[in-house]
Amino acid sequence: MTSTSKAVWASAIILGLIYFALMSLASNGYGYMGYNGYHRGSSFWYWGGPTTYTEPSNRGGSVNGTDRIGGGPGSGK
Amino acid sequence: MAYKLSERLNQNKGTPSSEDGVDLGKVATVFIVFGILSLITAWVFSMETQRLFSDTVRTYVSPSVPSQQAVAGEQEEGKDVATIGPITVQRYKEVYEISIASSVPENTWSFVEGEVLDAEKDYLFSFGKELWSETGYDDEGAWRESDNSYSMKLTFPQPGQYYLNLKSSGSYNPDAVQVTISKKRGSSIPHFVFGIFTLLIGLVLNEVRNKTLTKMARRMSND
Repeated sequence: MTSTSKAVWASAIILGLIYFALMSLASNGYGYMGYNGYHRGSSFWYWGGPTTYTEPSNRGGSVNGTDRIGGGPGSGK
Repeated sequence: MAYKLSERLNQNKGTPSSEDGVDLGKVATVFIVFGILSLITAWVFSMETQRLFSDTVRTYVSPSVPSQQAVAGEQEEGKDVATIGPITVQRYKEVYEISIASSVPENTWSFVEGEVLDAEKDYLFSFGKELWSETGYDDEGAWRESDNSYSMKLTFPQPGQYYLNLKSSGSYNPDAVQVTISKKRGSSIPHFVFGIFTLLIGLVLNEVRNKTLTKMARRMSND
């Protein structure tokens, strides 16, 4: 077996193993919000999406009492 | 027989023989094939398998939020838009995509937020983005730019029922929001990232061996 054949086979086997190992990650929704629980955001590799907020804000002392109002910019304390 | 150093270097410099050296062109082909295969796999994983919800949701003012007349240019009181659900997740770690779209009048903005709630309607997390539309004039005349939609992929770690609570706030509160919830085959991220890296390595190896891109660039510059 020539050096080229060895290199081709070695790279094909290594790349193939990685390719199939990634199938499990892909099937389990790797990288998106919720994959690592709800207290951690999306993966570094998932860009361009909306901003995510892991904790709701509580507005204490407002007219209607404490109200959960989500985590967006309108969610003043 | 003695050789000068330069002669010896020249002797070793010849094209890598098929027996001794590694033909990087063939290794590059393997990388490029796996790169393309991975990108196709990523595309397959991003495909929709089921559409759970697709409708225009009408807004209503939350009873707990006091109604307030909005003044032009000021932020309107936030509104609850709607609660959508239950979204029934049947398997562990299922991937869903939530798409939000709404028409926003010129020179206004609205932050549309989605809260993901569990079966007891307890908060899990939220996401949101500003939808906007702007107009103006510059040297080239009138311009108009807008961003009136976004989508978010998420993984539900556990099966069960979930709800999506939509809210909006901003200089304009849309009367209706188009919401689409669809189930995906999986995450496209692992194979997309692997595909990009593998393809890049393959192209670099190919360039080192065959100089395909350099030749193409030379040919184009000559034309």
